[in-house]
Amino acid sequence: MMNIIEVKELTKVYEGRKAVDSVSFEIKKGEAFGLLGPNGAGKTTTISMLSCLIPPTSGDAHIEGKSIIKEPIEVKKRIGVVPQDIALYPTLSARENLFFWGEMYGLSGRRLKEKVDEVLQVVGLTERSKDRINKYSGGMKRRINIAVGLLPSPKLLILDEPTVGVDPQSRTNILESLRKLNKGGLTILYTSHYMEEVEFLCDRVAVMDLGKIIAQGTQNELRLLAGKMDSLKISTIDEVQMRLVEVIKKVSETDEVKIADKAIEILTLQGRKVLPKIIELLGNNSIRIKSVEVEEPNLESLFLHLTGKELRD
Amino acid sequence: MIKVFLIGIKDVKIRARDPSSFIILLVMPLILILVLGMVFQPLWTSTPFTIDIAVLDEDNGEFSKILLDEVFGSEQLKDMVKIKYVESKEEIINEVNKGKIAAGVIIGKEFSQAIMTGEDTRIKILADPEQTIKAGVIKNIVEAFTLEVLKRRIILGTSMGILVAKNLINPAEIQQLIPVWLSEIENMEELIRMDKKTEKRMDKNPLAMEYYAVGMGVMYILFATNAGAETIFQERRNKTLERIKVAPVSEREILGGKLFGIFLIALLQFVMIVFFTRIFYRVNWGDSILGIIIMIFSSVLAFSGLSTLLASLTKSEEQIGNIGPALAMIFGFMGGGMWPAFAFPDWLNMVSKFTPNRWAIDGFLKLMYQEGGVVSILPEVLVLLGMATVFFSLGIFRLRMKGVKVD
Repeated sequence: MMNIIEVKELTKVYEGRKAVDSVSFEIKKGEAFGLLGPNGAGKTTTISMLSCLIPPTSGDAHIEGKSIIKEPIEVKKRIGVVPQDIALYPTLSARENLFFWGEMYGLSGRRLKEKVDEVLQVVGLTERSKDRINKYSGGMKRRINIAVGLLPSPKLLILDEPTVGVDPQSRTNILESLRKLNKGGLTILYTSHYMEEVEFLCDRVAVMDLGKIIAQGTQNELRLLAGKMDSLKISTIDEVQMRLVEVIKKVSETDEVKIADKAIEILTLQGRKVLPKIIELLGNNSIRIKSVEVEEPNLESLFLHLTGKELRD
Repeated sequence: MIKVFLIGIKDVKIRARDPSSFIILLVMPLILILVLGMVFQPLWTSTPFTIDIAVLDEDNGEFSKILLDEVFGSEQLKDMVKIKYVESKEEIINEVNKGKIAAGVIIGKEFSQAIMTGEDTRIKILADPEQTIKAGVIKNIVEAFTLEVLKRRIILGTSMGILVAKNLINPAEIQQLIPVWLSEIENMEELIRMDKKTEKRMDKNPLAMEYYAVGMGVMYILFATNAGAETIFQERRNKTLERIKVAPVSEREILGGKLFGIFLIALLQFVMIVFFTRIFYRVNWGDSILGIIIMIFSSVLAFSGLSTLLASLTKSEEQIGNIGPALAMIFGFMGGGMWPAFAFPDWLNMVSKFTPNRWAIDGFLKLMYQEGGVVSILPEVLVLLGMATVFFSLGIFRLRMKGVKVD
């Protein structure tokens, strides 16, 4: 599949400090790509450079073959940007805002009206479109913020933490809408420090910290990269005899088994596969199970594994 | 280019929806004009309105005496027009340059003789451009006088022609008879009849309501342009500036749009003040529509430039919100918004010329109290456009230096 964006060693230096340090990645057409990292990782700076808002100190990026340095206007025509902050005029209605932003993207006349109606429908705010933005809830403002990004029918939609400060219901709505758009063929570059959002939406992910990409790949690739085993925690009603340790080790193909009175903790590479065998084993030994907990490695644990700190530090 | 207009129009729409802007930019000046006009009107009319002039009478004839003794010396004018007789034109020029007199009147040699014999003659008026209203009054009086003289000369010429043609009179006797006839015409009708407009203006002096409509109206242009300039910071605060920058809009279009917005907000505000005061306060802004339009545009441009410069020199919405109104008030007072500049001491009169208010007020007053039309306001328009050029150049330069930085 063809790359819609190619980023090569993009660097931004502020007062001697590298906010973004030689970042490189590609995004294929129709892909949802996530930039995951804690606050201050350099995600917004990277997005700002890709949106031609700030020039890079070095490196370059091409969107549909257009350089962000040499052809910024051409790049801007191809992208829709949803900034982290709600960038709307509070005393204008949603419709007036969308008309203005549409005009800024060169839309006019019937095409503009159709496009405004279309994006209002996508974000589900057609009914409230004549209300002023300052009468909207935070979630509704966020949805209009996204609608503006969709106005120019972009080849690439760049979203910079678009769900910050949004209630869970609106957040789910937003993510569902974005997934639908992505399934419809829209390429998405999504930044967030919410691991679950990236996991929900993105095919591939780049993990950023201190201005650098420290890992990138599909979610499965990254999980493997974490090198961390699944954790099975089984709580029992009856006491587990120590004699069962060796049998459990054999069944779960691991030496990492701990037994303490009425609890078993197993660390294995294939948690889901061995769990039924363990349950069967315990049943055969008349040990009743109270609860079972399976913990699999995720992007959060990957980040912890790579940096030694949590995503929301 | 169209994006420049769209950004400007959007700013006007946002401003129009802000109730505080409506009150500050429109209601406040209209109330102030009304209050000041009503409160100070008695003061304006009771204060002796004197016009100092210098007269060089090289004629000393019949008609110069009529102008000096019976026109300027008439009941209506003798307390208002203070005449200083001088011996030379240079003396007049000197007095005008020093600002001691509003105008100098030079009646040339054989002025009366020329009138009686039907030859061309003229009265010269040297006016102090800084005493617009007063010089305008003198000009109107002399114009009314010359019209009256012209009328009588036509009557005399026609009468004499008929009498000589019909051999009812000996041409040699005409010179002796002219003074007698003139005296009789004089007894038959009022000596000087001013046209309606001149009469109104002279009898009532400049009306306080009219003066404050100009003074306050001009002062509040700066309030409006400052409000427009604040939107540059608001745009930054609302993060909408960043969003415009990521759209396919050039920096020139963004800056042009913001400046156009500043201009448009002030233009609409001032035009509304002019219309409102014309209709409800019966302020006569003059007969030259073109002149009024030119003055409005050049004044608004100068103040837009000033606010652009101010925006480039300030760092935040709060700063421009504090400094802007203070500057508008200071310029308003210094520029003659509260009291006519001719009543200022010399030093303040001089200082006031550095404010756009002074030139704008002078221009509008010329349109109101003089009949020179567009030509008469050329100096004011040129100075205002010059100020606009300087302010805009410095402001734009600084704004671009500061950059529409968002990172």
